[in-house]
Amino acid sequence: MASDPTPLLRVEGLRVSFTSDDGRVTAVEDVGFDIMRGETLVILGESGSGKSVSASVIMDILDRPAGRVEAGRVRLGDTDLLALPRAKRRAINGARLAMIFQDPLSYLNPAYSIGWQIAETLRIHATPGINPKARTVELLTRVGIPDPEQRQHWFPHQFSGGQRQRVMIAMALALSPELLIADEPTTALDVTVQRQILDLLKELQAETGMSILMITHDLSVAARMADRAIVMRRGRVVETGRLDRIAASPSHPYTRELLSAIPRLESDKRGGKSPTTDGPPLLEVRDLCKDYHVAGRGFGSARAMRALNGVGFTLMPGTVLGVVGESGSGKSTLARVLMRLESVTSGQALYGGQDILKLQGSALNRFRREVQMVFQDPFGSLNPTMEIERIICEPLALHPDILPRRQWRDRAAELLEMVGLEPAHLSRLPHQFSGGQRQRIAIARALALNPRLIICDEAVSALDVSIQAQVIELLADLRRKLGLSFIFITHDLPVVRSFADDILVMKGGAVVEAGDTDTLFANPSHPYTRDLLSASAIPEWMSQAVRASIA
Amino acid sequence: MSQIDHSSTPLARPAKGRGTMRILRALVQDRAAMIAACFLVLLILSATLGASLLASHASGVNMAMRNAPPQLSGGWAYLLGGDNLGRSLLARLVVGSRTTLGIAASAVICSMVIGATLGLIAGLRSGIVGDVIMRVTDVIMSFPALLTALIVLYLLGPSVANLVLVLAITRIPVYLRTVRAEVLEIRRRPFVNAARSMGASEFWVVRHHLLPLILPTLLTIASVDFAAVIIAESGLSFLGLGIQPPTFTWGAMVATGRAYLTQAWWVTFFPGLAIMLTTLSLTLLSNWLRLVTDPNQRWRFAKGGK
Repeated sequence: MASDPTPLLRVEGLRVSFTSDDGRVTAVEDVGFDIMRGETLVILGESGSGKSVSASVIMDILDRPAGRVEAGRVRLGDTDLLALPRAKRRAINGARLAMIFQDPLSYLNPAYSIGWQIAETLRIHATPGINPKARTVELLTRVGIPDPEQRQHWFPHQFSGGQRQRVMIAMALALSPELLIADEPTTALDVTVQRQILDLLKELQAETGMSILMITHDLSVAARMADRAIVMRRGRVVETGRLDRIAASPSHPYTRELLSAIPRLESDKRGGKSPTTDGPPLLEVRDLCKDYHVAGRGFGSARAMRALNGVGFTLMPGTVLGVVGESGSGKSTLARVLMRLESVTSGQALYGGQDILKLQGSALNRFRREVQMVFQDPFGSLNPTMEIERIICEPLALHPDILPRRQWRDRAAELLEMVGLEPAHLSRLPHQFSGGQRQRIAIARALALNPRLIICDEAVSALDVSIQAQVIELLADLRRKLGLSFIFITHDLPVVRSFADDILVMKGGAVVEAGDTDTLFANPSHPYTRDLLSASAIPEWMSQAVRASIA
Repeated sequence: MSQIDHSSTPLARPAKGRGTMRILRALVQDRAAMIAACFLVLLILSATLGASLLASHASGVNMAMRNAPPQLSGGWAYLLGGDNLGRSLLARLVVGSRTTLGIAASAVICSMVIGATLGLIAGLRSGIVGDVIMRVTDVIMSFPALLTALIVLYLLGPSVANLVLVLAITRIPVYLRTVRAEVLEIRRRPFVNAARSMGASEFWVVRHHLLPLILPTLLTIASVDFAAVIIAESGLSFLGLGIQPPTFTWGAMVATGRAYLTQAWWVTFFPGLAIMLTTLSLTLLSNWLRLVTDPNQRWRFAKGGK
């Protein structure tokens, strides 16, 4: 970096505010950073920290007029971007600056072929000597799309999530930009695919010498990519510097909190192996199979797609079973089948000696009281029009014989306190809460009927790392206090390490490996498990530095 | 950034009127919507009180004032002129508003209730029941609304009840399809699954989770549809298939005045203007209502927002 002292991009004193219900709210305050040529700068922060807002100011895609740049300068080389008219900025966007997003599906136009969309950038910034068609094929080849001659005519929906992100990268690279802004580019992808995309970005950076501004909330992504990092919180930069230095000696308390998630994830929070109960198992699942019928094309007959293939496990009372797998592994189908939201093709699930898959009427109703579910999406799992009190009391209203109506409110207040919220929140609506708080509300709702088993389907996946740790802490606490059992479904292996007693690794609808957590982490036997473990791991240098600094 | 302040009183019941007050405040801030709302209030007053007060004036024939132009000298009655039989146009507009709005309101309510119910069923029952409902809707939609009206009214005879029936039937598909689409989307949301996993019945899900979310959309469509129904009814009355004399609506008034368009333009102009202003107000107001009830658009109404 010392070789070229002038930064490629310099952001200074940026302040952005948004209009909201309560007047103007400042989203970003006094944010500044430099990016050198060929360097990767990671902006690390949780949701609402203002990291995406800063990037959208650079790209001039701030949501206006709700958002407004109040102060600050963004210099690209010698030009002040904020002082330029929009037409000039458009000429810079795409050519010198390019951006890739978290969810490629919503940023690719479904009505055009991907080849057309990549060539679009080339046509807009018509450059002599570049043949859009040939360049498109060249780009697709470079980002690793097989058979690009053919597939340039395909449409976005014909690609997998990882391939769509590759297409987005090809599009961003079309005019060899000097700076690529990547806003959570791998967050929506499976861990193994995530690693491939990050590797691709690194390779491309080495080839073209472009700078990358990477926005992420994920420490392992940051550790893999960053030369330097800035940490943002509540719209302010709290830490700047080389990532290894930050890891070794964090100066801001928030950075320490963020980094402390690493040892927490790697340590064992269960306090040793939980007591092995000799009694009968709580739930015994045998040879579960589930076929979906996919309509055939044209007049073709329907095909069967096997979502679950001979899944079986035993859950002892008071223990936690982690179910790990990537998208399409059948883990969510398993949850839905056990909750009787979907039927099975064959198999048995014995709960207290009864096959719950055959329960009807009042017996099914009794079962529903004992088993509750917490869903992934804390924004979707609460009805936006209902007050928190009504949400938490819904199970009580559905099973009215448990508690007389006048005690509901007290019970709801008690449940809210149990999950770490205040009774005063009872009269609020879900949109007034953050993601982590909503997930706590969902947990309170699940606890309302005093269940024995809670199935968590990706219950912490949508949350920020530090919040994730808090919610798992809460669940572990509830387990100790109430003697609950959990089936904890996730795509993220490190998350369950601290919480689960046994782990089931699923792939393509079948169990590929099962065993107790310590053995599985220490000695994974299936190659797929090893893949998963290495893909999501934090690099050794970083966890060592963090352990040293925190100890 | 969602920050929660912890200042509110513990266990305080939410103020029931809070939402209404917020909407009223937003209404005062938006001038176009405010004028539209005032006009509609005036219209409701005229349809209820005014129509009862002026009933005799509206039918009082006065040949001396035949096709009299708008004037200030003849008192309030001929402010807007007289029609082809010398009846006060102003009084007739007021009395006509009762029939016009009455028919439109009944038709809209009928089609909304029937459409929403069938839409719910079609959305929840994807099997043969849903298919039958959707295909019948397709038939209604593919048949020109005016043609349906002509046939039905010709066969059953023109009366207020039949007019409402025809207008309602031709409007059902809009509600039905919207509700079905919303049901298909909302019933996949996690909170519906959460309720199901707790043992909620279909009825419970509809009552507590589907209807509260669909209702704002329904009301928005209804207010736009109200305008469309007024126009459709005016068209039918203009063709003589609507309301029969001595009862009349604004549409029938336009039809009467058509013969005198070159000598007495005001006989057609004022009822036409009333129709236009009513539909315009409704459209403005419903557009505003859609914005103000959508949390994503709410910033437009926040203080200091422009």
